[in-house]
Amino acid sequence: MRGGLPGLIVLLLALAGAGAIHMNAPPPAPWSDDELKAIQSLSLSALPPLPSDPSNAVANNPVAQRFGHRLFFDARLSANGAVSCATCHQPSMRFADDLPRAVGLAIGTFNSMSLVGTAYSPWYFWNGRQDSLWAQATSPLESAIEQGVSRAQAARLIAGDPTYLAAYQALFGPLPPLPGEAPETGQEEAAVTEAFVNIAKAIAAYERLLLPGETRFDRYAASLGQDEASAPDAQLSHPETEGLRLFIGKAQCINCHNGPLFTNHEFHNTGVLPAIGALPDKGRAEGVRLILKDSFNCFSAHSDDPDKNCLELRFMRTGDDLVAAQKTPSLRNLKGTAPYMHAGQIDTLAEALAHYNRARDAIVGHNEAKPLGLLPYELKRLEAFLSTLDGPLATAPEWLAPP
Amino acid sequence: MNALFPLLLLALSAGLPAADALAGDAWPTPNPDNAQVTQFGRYRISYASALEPIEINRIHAWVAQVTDADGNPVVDATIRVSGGMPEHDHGLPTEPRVTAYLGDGRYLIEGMRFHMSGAWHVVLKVKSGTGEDSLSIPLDI
Repeated sequence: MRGGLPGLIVLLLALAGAGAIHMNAPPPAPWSDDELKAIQSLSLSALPPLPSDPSNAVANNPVAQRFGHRLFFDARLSANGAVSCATCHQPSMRFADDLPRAVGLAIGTFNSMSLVGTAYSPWYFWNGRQDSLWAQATSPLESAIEQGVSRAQAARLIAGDPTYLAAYQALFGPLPPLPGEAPETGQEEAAVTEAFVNIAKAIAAYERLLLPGETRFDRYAASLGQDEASAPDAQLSHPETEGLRLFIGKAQCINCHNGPLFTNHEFHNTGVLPAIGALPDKGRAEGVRLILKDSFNCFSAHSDDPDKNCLELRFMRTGDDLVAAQKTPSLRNLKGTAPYMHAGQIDTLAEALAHYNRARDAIVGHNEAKPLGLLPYELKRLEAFLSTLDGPLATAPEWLAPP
Repeated sequence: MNALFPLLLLALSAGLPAADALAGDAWPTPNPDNAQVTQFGRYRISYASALEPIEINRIHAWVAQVTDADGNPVVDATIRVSGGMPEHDHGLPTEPRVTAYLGDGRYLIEGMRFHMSGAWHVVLKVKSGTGEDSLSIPLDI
């Protein structure tokens, strides 16, 4: 048996070596057909073309896009001359900000939502209290804690700026007589509202250009089924792919964060605590009440849609179970849009994942999420996967800076 | 005009627009061969979705065709639509309802939407002179 011991050592070393290789680079388990289907459903390649907005006649008009671009960055559209749309929706922060709650003229109640891909949504704001991009744009302009301009002040800004006036007239015709301009006709208020709505429609035309671009996850999804060597930069790490597996499986994230924008555009109560010192928010229950009486909703005379089909609004769900339900946000560019939740209550992605893993009873209404029982290494893998959802915008660079 | 009068009366009595008013829309036609029998056997219901295959997050319409057990179209039905995901203990994200009678026992249901993949059921509760009954339609979306 001479040589037996060295032989054994060699064998053990070989096994150890094989083990080390295995531990360093485990072969990714093949995806099942259902998993592949789920992965492709999340991929940017599954994103349909931007839906038309018949309520906004200038939604795709290049003059309106340029006009809206200027208005978006124009702080003259505020009571103190210092707040624009871009104050809370900053291009460098994926058109959100890094604050828990929006700060315009004062500190607001809600976390600023990213505008990237928002034109796909049937509902706006965390509680969905408005139902078109242009209607949404009217609210911060008038809000006393955001921009705080009156409709007449906004119209006067257009009247007093030759570039704006030319764009306005090209798009909408002559600016109506403003209050205080003789002779008074009694129609000034309606005319000013019309001008204000037109300003919002131009801003919406610009915001429709803000679309999500390809991420590492999208490149990986596109590479599946292809030779690995043909797309060497499309690979995800082992923790990232295993995080993806959890995302579409055991962790149930895909239930609500589904489709290529990682949102079902719906409202869910997930037991998020109110911001410290704040009362619990009524969420979608309040949103439903507000949208029905909103003078700029889909049924409104300010909509340019002659049909007023308004499917989402006509068949909107109502009911008590919507209390404290908030809109599912997109997870694209998640890393760059911290802090999280409707009032920025959660600082980090790890804490957000821990929140869903615990799924404690809601203090108002009913938490739809159930405890997941994920282990710490699984939460880390999920976090690793979510970091693959950052990417540039699919928007020409000239739109991403002030004009 | 005389020929149209009974149709008009029917539409008014049901509180729904007449099929003529919707002539411009090409609604799908359910295949009666796929009819399912309601819980107590009073009706047979076939349906067709205007969105086929059904995708998540897209609002769309269905047409439900209702006959009695002998295959005669039911023209005076009131249909209530509900449903949900039994596994997740939640209902539909919208409140779909019948918006038009299309003739021949066919009813237009608008406002259908599903916001998650997985096992759903859609429940149609039918009430007419024939009686009350319901059908639970399982769907895998």
